[in-house]
Amino acid sequence: MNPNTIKKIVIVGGGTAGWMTAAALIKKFSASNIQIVLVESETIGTVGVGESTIPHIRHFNQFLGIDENVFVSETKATFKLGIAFKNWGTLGSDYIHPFGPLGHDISGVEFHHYWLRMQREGSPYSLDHYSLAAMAARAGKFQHPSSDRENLLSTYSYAFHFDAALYAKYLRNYSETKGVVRQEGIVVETKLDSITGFIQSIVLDSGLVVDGDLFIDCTGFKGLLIDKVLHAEFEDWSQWLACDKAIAVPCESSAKMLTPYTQATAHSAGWQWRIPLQHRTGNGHVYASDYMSEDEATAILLNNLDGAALAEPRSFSFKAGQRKQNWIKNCVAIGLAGGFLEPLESTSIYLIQVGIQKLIEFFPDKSFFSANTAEFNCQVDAEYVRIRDFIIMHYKETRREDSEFWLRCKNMNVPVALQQRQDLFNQCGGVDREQYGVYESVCIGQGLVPKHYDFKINQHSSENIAKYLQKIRVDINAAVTQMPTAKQYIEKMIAASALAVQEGQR
Amino acid sequence: MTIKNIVIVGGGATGWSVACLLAKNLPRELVKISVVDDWRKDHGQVEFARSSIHRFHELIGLHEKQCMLNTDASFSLGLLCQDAHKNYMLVEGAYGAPLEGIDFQSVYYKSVLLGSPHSLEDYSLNAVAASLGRFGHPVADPKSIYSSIQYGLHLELDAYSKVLSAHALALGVELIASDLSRVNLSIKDVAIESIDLMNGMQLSADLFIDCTGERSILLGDAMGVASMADPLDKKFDSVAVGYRPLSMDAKPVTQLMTTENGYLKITPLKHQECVSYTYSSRFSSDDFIKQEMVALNVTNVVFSPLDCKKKTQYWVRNCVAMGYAGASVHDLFVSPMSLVRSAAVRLVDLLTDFDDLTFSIDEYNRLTHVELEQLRELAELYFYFERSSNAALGDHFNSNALSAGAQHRLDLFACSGRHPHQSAHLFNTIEWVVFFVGNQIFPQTCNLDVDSYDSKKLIQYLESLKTALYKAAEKMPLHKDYIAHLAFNK
Repeated sequence: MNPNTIKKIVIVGGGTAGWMTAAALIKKFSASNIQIVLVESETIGTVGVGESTIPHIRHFNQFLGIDENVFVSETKATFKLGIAFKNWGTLGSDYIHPFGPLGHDISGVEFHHYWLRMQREGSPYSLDHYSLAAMAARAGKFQHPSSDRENLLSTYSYAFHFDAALYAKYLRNYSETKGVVRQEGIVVETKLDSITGFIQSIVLDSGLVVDGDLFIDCTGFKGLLIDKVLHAEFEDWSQWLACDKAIAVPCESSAKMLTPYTQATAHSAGWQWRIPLQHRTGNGHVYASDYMSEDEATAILLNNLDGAALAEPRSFSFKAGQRKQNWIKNCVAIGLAGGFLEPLESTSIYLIQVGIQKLIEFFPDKSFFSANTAEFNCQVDAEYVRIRDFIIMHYKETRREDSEFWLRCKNMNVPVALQQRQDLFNQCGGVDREQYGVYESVCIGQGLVPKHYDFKINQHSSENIAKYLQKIRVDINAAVTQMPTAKQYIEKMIAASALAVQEGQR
Repeated sequence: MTIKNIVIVGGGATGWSVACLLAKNLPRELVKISVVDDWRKDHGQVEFARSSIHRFHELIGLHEKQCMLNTDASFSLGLLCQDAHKNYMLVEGAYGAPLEGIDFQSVYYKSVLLGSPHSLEDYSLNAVAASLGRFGHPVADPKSIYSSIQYGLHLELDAYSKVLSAHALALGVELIASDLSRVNLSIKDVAIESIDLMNGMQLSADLFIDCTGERSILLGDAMGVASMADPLDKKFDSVAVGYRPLSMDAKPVTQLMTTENGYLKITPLKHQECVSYTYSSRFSSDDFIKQEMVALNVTNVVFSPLDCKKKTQYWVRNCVAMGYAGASVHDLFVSPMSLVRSAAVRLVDLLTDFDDLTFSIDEYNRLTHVELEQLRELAELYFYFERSSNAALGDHFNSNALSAGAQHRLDLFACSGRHPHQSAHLFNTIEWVVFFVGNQIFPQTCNLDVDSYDSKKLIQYLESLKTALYKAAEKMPLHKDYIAHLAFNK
């Protein structure tokens, strides 16, 4: 046995980040006799607004061995096929960023080039028509994707909308059952090694001293360890992402339809999310306080709800940016303690996942080799920047001039690498495949339509391409028609799992 | 604006590879592709092509048999790095298999700590088969042990370029057999307006592809694009190439070794072996190298200078430099020809139909830099590990530290067996592992899962794996029989 092995991990802060980390670490190291303690206080609230996710969350649940039926019932989850963006490129525009590809490549050239050529030749169909995920989302339909790769119904993925507080609660139970020790208390002091500056222990308000080899900072915006103790430098990104406040409020679900997508509607100085859960709908208005007052932002939010508000609106302040190092000495920041990006592309929980996944990949021993820490920081940083640029792109690629906020966004200088990507796409539809999401659907959805399609497709005749595209549309429509509605599907699923629980109890 | 006309200047395997891929992808009736071939040979006479060549052949629609039967090509299972200090085989394909969810590398490191004498290659079917001189194509059934084989080719470039040119002509490419006499630039934007040929023809085109080798006549000479050189790359400046008969026990691998004078590469073809010796003319005279070659039984030795350097940009305005015209690199683990293929694919990807190619050009140059940087790091680390075998290298590393990127890669592996993120994919993770382990670099920490795993069971598992692979390899045909059979079936 390596004497340098980490024997005790202390996670500071519960909430979504803390309990996700605890659950993943106990699952990963259950056989290695690592002790895991999570310190949290019932008196400190959690942010927990990240209720919309991307498909990666399913890998996380799979890794933990959580049954999807149980997850859906426990967290009041609903299915999600993408994000609908309204009023972004122009007032009245409406597109979906789907969880699934558009058509598919032909002769090695990406689908959007063919779409573009047909567009030039007068075709009226938007890109959405070539994505099963987008069309099913619009129709309010859902079923699990087929595992048969030949089947059109395999050409999409899905994520969830869920109640983050219930998820944290569920993971707490999961972690405690597997041996994570929860310690109630507030951290009042941190003791450092006088020579190395490593964290030796934390002292709680009860006087209890908790020592450990590795400390995980999940204390949210505060960054109790990474910032207050280790003084990680914060890189401010508000020059590109001006929104710095959010108001959140749940409301009654719409009786009409359970939409299997997140709605992101742009307003005059920000945007509003709408996330339907089983029992309520989560709403929030993210805005830039330089351009709008809280009263105005709240009024806009309350005027745009599906049903009656179920609670008083809560407000949050934040600053877009990231700590330059998310891992310093023996302390790793995960979640908001490491950085913040507005939830426009539902990446909050994903970024927690990235932190956890990279921590496991670069799991240290007591030597805490600097090359290892540096590589973790480099990779986490790259992921933040990748998503940051993608979110900035939504603001930059607009033709809205109806407010000062949008004028500023439209005219801002964006990071150089992003500008190069946008220029390339603008000219010829070129997409760097290392970038996030279905890049072309967002670019085109925002109104950035390439000037030229790839001339290699000229080897195909217009008639053939038109026929081919028509077939895709017809097939997708047929597939969507026979899918159940998302509401029917999930009700059936919940009923079935309730029945299974009853059977089990008998 | 539509690209209607592409002129490739210089043939060889470089020019004809690019011609094939362009012709296969661009509509024949809309774009005319011409190759001005002066029948000069490519730099280096043979190539050890990694498995990625198959994908390229697929893209251009060239069948392996066309290649194997019309040239002196043989199959390759990898690269053997062997000298007084080390002996490791760098092969593609799978190494071992995870043990109850624990990754194989960790299992292997643990076995070394436990005193196991076996090398990582003992758990690779590719490597075991190679050491036994055996070869067979991979089988399609993923359940079969033989599905894990991954192979490349040993190609004699002159014959290979003839296969490619015949293929390109069939795809509608026009051959202009002449030599370049003059490049005419437009005064307005320093783009290439036309080229004059020795036969009196003048050719203009929308895009020129410079495949003139180290001379870089279009991009370098005419357009004045500057070169950058790495001091380490300059250590060796000459190459001697010759042939010798195939030895009786030739294995389907290329051999690479560093000597006091430089590095030696031996590539077995179907009927003979090509031996190339890269050295420094300041320390070893041609005569001396010739004697060394004679001692190795090599005849027909040809000497040529090697000037490793790369351009600051590879695509400028309407001219793209491919192969040595863009970057002349050491032929160590990844062949210069594989860079040509990768660049050709990139060019086709980015070559679109519009007035202003600026953004495509930027992206092409960016990606090319990334790829060359990965290659540079690999060469640097190879030379670093060979510094005790060669005085010139020893000298260099006495006064120069490793570059930051290479040092980080080495440190990261040495501390935890991990790898930096890479966005170029010339060389994959497992190959880095074999490379480091072959140079006696082992990670200091073990995976926690393997730490708590029963040692005896772990060793037993590895023994059984090794035996199974050996048995499977023994059942494969001998490489020379396999090739002979292929010819017989013609």
